[in-house]
Amino acid sequence: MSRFSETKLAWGFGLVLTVLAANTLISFGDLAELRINTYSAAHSRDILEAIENVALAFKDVETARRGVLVDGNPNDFDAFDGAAHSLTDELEVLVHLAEDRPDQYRFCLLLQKTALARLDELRATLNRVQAGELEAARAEFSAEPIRARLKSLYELTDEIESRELTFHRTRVAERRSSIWRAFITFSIASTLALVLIGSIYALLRRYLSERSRADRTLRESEARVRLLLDSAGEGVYGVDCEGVCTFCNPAALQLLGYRSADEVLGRNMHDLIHHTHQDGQTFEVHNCPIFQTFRTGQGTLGEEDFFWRADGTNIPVEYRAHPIRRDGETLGAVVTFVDVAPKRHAETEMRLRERALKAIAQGVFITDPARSDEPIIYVNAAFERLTGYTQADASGRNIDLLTGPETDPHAIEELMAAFRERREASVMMLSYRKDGSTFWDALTIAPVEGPDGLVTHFVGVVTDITRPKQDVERIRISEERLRLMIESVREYAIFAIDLEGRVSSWNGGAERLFGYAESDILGQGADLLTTPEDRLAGVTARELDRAEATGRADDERWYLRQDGSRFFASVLVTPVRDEDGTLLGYTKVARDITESKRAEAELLAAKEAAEVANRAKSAFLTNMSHELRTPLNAIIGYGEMLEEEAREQGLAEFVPDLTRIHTSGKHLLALINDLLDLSKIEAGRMDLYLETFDLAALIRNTLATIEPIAERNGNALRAEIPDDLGSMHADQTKVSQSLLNLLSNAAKFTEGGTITLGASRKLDQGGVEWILLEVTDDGIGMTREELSRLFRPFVQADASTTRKYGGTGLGLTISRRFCEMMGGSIRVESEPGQGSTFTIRLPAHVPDQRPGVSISQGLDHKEGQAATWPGSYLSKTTN
Amino acid sequence: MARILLVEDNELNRDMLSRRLGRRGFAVTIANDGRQGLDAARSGHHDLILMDLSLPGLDGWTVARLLKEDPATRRIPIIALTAHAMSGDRERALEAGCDDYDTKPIDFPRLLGKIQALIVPRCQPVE
Repeated sequence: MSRFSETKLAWGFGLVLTVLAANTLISFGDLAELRINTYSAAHSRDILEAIENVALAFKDVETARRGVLVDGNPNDFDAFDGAAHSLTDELEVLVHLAEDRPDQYRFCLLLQKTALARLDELRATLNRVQAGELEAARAEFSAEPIRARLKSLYELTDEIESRELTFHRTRVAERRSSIWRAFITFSIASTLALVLIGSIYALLRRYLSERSRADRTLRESEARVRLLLDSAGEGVYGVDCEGVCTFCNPAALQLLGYRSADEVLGRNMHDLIHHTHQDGQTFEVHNCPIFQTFRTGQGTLGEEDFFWRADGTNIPVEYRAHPIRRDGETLGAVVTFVDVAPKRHAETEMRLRERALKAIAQGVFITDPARSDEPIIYVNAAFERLTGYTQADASGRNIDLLTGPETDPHAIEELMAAFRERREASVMMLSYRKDGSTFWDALTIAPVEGPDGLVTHFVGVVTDITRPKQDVERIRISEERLRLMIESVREYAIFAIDLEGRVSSWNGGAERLFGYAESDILGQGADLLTTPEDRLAGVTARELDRAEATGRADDERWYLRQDGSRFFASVLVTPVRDEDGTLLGYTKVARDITESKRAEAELLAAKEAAEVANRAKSAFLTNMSHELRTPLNAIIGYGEMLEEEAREQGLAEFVPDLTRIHTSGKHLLALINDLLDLSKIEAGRMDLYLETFDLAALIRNTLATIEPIAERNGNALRAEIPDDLGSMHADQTKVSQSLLNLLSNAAKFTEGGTITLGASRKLDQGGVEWILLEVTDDGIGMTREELSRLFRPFVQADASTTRKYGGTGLGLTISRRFCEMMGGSIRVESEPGQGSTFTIRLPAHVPDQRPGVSISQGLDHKEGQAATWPGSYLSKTTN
Repeated sequence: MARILLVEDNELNRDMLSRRLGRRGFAVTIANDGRQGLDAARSGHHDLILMDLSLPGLDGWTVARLLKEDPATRRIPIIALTAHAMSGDRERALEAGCDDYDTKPIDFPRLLGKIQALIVPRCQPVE
């Protein structure tokens, strides 16, 4: 339906309405007029009636007057009065009715006035009659003026009546004409309206039928389009100007990986499938060419683009976007796209083959079998290099190009036959280059079939085998040399194993080692050489696998000789590959190491035995020391108790003996404790307990302990402790024990001399801070030889000194070990008769982790606790 | 008179220590093993416990820990005694809640000093 028809319809309706409105107006006017005329006519009739009544009243008045005048009957006076009264009333009615009739009113008033005047005259006349003057009254009445006046009254009445009649007739006529006019107008208007309505009805019918026909056509057209879209191989979808999907065909859904259109309809297609570039960057919608389509109204073509699928993968696509327009307005766009992955793939493959053809060393040519002479249509670069013929030279010529006088005619015949019979053929022939030189050519041709099974092309491969022929000889010589070399190796068994695990070569060394002659072993499984248990475990196969995977496999294990005896061998297996890396087999090199293995095993056993013995000794010492200490505790304790009791009870003669028991017990205990310490050190069971403590306090404590001993030999004790000595992080007990040991040694071996203790902190070149504790005496000193034995356990410089000076002879050894455990040392300088200087050197901060030393990390204890602790070793180092 | 509980499995040591302590005016209760020691500590009113650590059955560390976990016995000071002169023993004893520690052989005057240090502050009123 066109807009034009709609307008026409509107106009039609407008016209009908106008006509009806005009009709109504005119009819209304007519009816109003009709009403007025009808009213006027009725009014006029009333006036006429009133005039008639006035005339009749006159007649009655006249009749009454006449009666009075004729016979003077007094009764007639009453009639006269009644008639006069009636006349007055009628006149009143008439005047009243004529009030709204200006043309008649004047006359009516005149009539009333005149009539009333006459009535008064008549009454006056009649009054004479009453007065008995009948005759006079008759005469008066007969006088002309009165009669004339009466006559004019009648004339006036007639005048009014005749005027009113005319008026009445006119009104009646007008009313009739009004009725007619209204009727005619209404008829005309109604007819016109009916005609117009009829026209509109016809127009509407036509419009509706046209429209239904258009709808049907549209539906059919849409169905056709949908069918087209549904069956299209290309993906098609439509979007509105917001980019929201309005339709999507099955191919698009399938390509994009959606199951139903509901999943995409109403979604923004850019956000759904076009949101990201393939490199992961966001694809801004304002950069999207499809989106541009709405703006510019121009179609666009995308060739190198990607759409994202429902499953998050993407497909390469080519698409076209067309704007949808109506009446110059862009409503959206239709996008058609295809998955170009197969096409890309094919292109890539094609390029790859092209590249391969160019790259391979063999000359390749293609011929066109459509013509009987099989002309060459393509040659590759290698062909050009090999034969000297370029693509241009070779094009259009056939394979005869390569033949010459010395080419084997049978080879040529074979090739020709293959071309004819559309089959493959391989020949070895002497081919000729462009420059006339020749080469041995392994030439193969093969037909290429099209999809219909018909041969579309022949591909030929030209291989120059001249060089390989020469190489084979050279390699043979070199291999022979190598074989002889391997053969002559006697110390090593060298043999090859093929891919099936069989021995495939065997040298003299192998024969000597395994006992098999080459002829006996070749072709046998290499498993034969291994022990039965290894065979069961599949050792050989694993070894070969390992060699193949990693390039080598070495091992040491027992092998079997032909006579069944065993030997221990070190072996190395390596894979053998050709230039392409294809595995050809393995070589295995074996060496008999039975002797060295045995020696090694013996050594190991001896070492283990020694270690076990040492551990046993340490354990024994530890246990024994512990067992010895328990009764000793009792001896010392009871001795001490008895000594106290003897003193208290005044048994003085027992005291010295009891003191001897007590001190001997203590000495024995010290000895045992030292032994225990030493064995613990040896057994690696001595722990370090590291804590931070004040070094000066430790030194003062130690000095207090040693003072009585020093004084016993009449020695002076001097200490040089700087105020800023600071703290130290080490095993407090062991530092104290070591220092105590040095001091007590000095006190023991010096008589009436001076013992000096010096303490200092030093930084070494490496930035490590050290503590130096120096104990100097001016005692007997030591010879060089004595010095050398000094730190050996159980050895005092002079065996007699033990007896003379006491002590276990273990103190120095233990102290030195303690210092070494903490990363330090004890040094000694001495001259016989000049005295000695012992120096303890320890890190100010012993590291918390030291190899081979078990360390427990201490809490940094309170002064009180730390102060009581070092004293626990007193009994070990003093007599 | 201060009461001391001595937990010690070695008969000689037990006898010697109890006698020596007795001579110094302490009332000494003796226990032969950990179980006895635990029972005695819970039932009696002791001012101090001397505890040998290496006891048969329930060892001294365990007894010390149990006593220190029990509010009724927590306040009794414990001095651990051991023949092992290893630093780890001392740590373990202090960790188990012992208040002090001494090694065997007992240096009696030193032990007395430690006992006095732990008992005296409890007997004298706090200023």
